[in-house]
Amino acid sequence: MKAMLLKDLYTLKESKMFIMIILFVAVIMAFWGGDSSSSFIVSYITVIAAVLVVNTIAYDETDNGYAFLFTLPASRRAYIRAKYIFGFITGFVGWLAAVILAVLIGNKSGNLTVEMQQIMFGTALASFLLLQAVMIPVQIKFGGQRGKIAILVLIAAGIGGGVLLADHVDMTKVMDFLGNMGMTEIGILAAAIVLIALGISYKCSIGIITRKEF
Amino acid sequence: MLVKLEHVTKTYGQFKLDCSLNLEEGHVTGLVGQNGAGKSTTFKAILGLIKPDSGSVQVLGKDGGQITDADKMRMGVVLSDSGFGGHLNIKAAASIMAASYSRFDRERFLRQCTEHRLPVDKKIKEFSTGMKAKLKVLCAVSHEADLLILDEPTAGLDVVAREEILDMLREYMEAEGKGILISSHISSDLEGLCDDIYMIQDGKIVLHEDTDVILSDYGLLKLEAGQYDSLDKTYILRIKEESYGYSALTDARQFYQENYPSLIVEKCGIDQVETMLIGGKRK
Repeated sequence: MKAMLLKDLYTLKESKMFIMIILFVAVIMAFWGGDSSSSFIVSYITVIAAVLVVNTIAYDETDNGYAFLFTLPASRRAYIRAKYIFGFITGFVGWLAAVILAVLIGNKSGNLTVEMQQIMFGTALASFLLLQAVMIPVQIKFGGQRGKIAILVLIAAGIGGGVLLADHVDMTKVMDFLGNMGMTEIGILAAAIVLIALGISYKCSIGIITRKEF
Repeated sequence: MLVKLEHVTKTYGQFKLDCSLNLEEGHVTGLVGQNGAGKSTTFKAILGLIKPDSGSVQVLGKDGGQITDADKMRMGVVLSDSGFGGHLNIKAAASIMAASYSRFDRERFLRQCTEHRLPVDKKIKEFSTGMKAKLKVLCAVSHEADLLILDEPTAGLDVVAREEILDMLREYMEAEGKGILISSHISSDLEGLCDDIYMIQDGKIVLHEDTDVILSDYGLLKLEAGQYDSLDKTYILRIKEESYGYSALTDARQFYQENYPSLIVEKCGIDQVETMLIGGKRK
C-alpha cells in the first residue's frame, strides 16, 4: 500500500499548477471577496481537494496502467485502501487550509459567530467525505469520460429522489426535529451518515475492482 | 514448476483460449503466435489480470487465486500494453519499486538506467519506444525475481536495442532457479534465447517443441506435384500449395534428405514452422 500512496503523491505533483491556481484564487477571495468569502473558500477548497484523488485514478487507468499496477506486490484491496487514505489526506489538508483562511477572514470581519463557523466547517468536512464516497467507486467503475456522465446521472437521481422524498415526507416536521436537536446531536447524526456512506462506498469499490479484468 | 497452465479457457465473443503450458526452473520458454492468437490473454491469466472461465493456473507452485504480495515479489513482469504512468520519471518509478520490492536495489537500478542511456529525470511519456522497452525490462530484472513474465519485451525495437535486452535476459538466467516465459514476434530473438517454444493459434497450442529440435530436425520440403504424389508422408506435418507445386513441413528433415536426395529440403526456423502451422493444411 505504501507504494500505491507514493505513486499517488508523485501523480499529485502533476496537479501542482492546478493547486497553485486554486490557492491563488482562495487568497484573492480572502482579501477582497467581502463578507461571504469565507463560506465560498471553505466549500471551494475542500471540494477541489477532495476531487484530487479522482485525478489520480484517472492517471492510473491511462494507457491500461491498471494492468501493470496489479502485477506489483499490492493487492487490489490495498489499492482501494490507498485511494481512500489518499483521498482523506488531500481532502483533510484542503479542508484544514480552508478553515485557517476562513478563521482569519472571520476574525478580520467579525461577522461570523463561532457557532456559524462550526456549522460551516462541519458541513464542508461532511461534504468532502460524502463526495469522495460517491466519486471514488464511480470513477473506478466507469473511468474518465463515462465517470463524468455517471456522476451527472447520480446528481440528477439525487435531486429527483430529494423531490420525491419532499412530496411524501412532511419536511416541516423534519426541520422541526432537526431544529430541536443540539449541535452535538446533529454532529453525531452527520458523522453516522458519513461513516455509513463511506463504508458502503469502500465495499462497492472493493467489489468493482475485484471483478474488473485488465 | 514455475508456471503450469492446464486447459485454461477464456472466451471473448468468437475467440476462445484453451491453453496448457509449463515453465520449468532454469528454462526460458517462448510463446509465439500471430496477433490475436491468445498470447497476451495467456499472460494475463497467469498474472491474475483476467479470470479464466475454467482450467487451472499455478504460479510458483500456488494456485492463481492464492498468489500473495510475497509471491508477486518473486515475479518480474513486462506487459506489451502497460507500464509505469507516462507522467512519472525513472526516479519516481525507482521509489515506487523500492517501496514495492524488498530486494530492489535502487542504486544499481539507477546506474543500469544510466548505462542504458535512459534519462532518470525525464518523464517516461517523452521516451522513445526503445527507451520504454528497456525501462520495462530493467524494472522486471531489478528485484532478483525468480520468474520473469515478458509479453513482447522487444516489440518495436531496432537490432541493437533488442540485443541489449536479450543480453540482460541472458545475464538474468545465469543465476540458478530462475525462469522466463517470453512472447515475441521476432523469431530470431526466441531462437537464440528459448529452451522450448509453444506456438499458439486461435487460442490453442498447436506445437510445443524444444528450440534445438526445431532447428535441427524440422525442415521445409519444396515439391513438384509429381514428387508430392510419390512422397512418404509419414513425417509430414503440414502441406501448402505453392506456385511451383507444394511446400511441406516435416519434423524429420534427415529422413527426407537421406531417402529423397533429389528433393529440396531446407532447414526451418521458428518463422517457417509458424507460417506452415498457421497457413498449411494437415496431410
